[in-house]
Amino acid sequence: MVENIQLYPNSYSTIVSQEGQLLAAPAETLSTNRAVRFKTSIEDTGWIMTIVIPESEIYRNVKRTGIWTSLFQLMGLMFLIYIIQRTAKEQVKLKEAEDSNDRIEGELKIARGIQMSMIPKTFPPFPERNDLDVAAAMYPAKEVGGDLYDFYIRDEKLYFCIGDVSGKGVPASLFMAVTRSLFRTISAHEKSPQRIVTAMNDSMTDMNENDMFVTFFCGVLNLVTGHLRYCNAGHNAPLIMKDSMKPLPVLPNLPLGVIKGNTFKEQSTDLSYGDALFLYTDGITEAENSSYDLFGEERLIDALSVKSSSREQLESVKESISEFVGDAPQSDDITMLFIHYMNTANSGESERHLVLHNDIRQIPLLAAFVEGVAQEKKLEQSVETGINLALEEAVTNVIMYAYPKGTDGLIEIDAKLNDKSVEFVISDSGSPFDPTAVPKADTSLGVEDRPIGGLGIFLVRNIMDSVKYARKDGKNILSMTKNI
Amino acid sequence: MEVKITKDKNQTTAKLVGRLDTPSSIEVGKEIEALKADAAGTVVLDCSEMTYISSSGLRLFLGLRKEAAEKGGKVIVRGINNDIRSVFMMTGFLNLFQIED
Repeated sequence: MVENIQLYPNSYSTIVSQEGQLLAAPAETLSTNRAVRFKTSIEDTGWIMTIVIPESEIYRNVKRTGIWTSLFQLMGLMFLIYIIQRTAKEQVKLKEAEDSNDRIEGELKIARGIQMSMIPKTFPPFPERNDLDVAAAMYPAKEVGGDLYDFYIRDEKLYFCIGDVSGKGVPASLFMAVTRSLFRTISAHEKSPQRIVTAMNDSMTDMNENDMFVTFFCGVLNLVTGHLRYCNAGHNAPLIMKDSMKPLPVLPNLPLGVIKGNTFKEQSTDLSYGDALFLYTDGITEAENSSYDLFGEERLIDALSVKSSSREQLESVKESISEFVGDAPQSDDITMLFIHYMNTANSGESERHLVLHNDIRQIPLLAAFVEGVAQEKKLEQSVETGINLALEEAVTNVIMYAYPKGTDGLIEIDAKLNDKSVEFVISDSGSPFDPTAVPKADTSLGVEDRPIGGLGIFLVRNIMDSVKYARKDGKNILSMTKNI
Repeated sequence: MEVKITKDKNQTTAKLVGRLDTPSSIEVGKEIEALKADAAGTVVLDCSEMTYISSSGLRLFLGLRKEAAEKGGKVIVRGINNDIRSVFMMTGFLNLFQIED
């Protein structure tokens, strides 16, 4: 009976007693484990009947339909993935578009930070030095710029440069970084600006595939002597401030990165105490206001004529530009470098003193005194004679008239000399007398009308460039200056 | 300062050697004053070896020149160097004297 219970062609049934005795089974049983066994206990007997069906029999149809289902499912899934991917891509694109400005801006900010860290920006840069006052400022038109400046001291020489890369923005900023690195590397073992510039040019023409170039000015200032060597490579002339402010004479030369092996010519000048150099990029002179007027050199010189510290000078220039430009957007990078040379050892300043008694026989001492001054300042004979004459006239006046006859009085002469002028201060404690108040002699008068005296003070005022009188602390003080 | 005086018939020549500063002018003042006696004729002040003059010296020159003007004589200043010439220029003395090289 059990043999007849066959659900699938190869299925069969077995009955096992409570004691585990096999009561009914087909002659052949499946040795495989890959079969499904349905077990049930038969009531009252305690027997357990098992129907064994091979797995393959059960899943035969299921497998067939399963393959197709799977295929369809796979295709559907792929389609779904495709749809999702497309949507996601579009979403990302949208998001990217939305974020790109922020992202680029973020990156540019970092780039700006890197660029700014490449140039000296601690001011004053040499707080321990009193012979040099350097200030610099850079204002890129965009986040990053193509301007550069640099300076440092090596062996009591100030190495400095300023440059302007063609173009603006990121490409220019990369080239700027290269230029600055080359300057540092090459100037570390070269002290001639001409050789520094030449070596930089050769390096830059080697690797320059984008036809970029840099206008560049390089200087080496001997801080001990004030001797300045410089080489210009197509940059605008810096301003030099001595008695007045004017452009430093520069040979144009080609910019860096144009022609390999180009010859650059070096120039030189001497700075003395108080002289200054102002280097800048054309972003200053070419700053435009809303009516397209240019800031120009004249306004720049005006802004710089405020005599103050280097830093204040730069602030004055920046303010002046801002005022001029108004709301117009900044069109080009602005960079400036101010070098104020203040080596007092190089100021040519010195002092000399002479004390005379109110005795006319002391007058020849003046000649020797003036001769000393003339030798120190290398004055021409005629200038020396003139100064001698003026001093003699002024001192004679004091000797003759300041002190009562027969009394001894002193006349002090202090000379202050520098590279530009010699000043003599004559002081006495005699009765008040202002020689500058004496009416000017009329030199056009004929022989008969000519007064015999009155020429002394006239000569003093003619020879010297400035004559000033003051009565101070019971003393007559006559200061007279001759420009040399 | 040294003054060498030579006299011809119509002409007295005083050669001034050195610096004619204030003390020198006092020193040689009397000798120059004495030339006034010849001021009716020609007085030549030979300055070719005079290196310097101050207003005290100019005063002596002018005193002599005034005397000559009164007496109808003349004063010739000869051989002044460039420094002295510029002092003469400043003071208008170039116009007061007959200047000879």
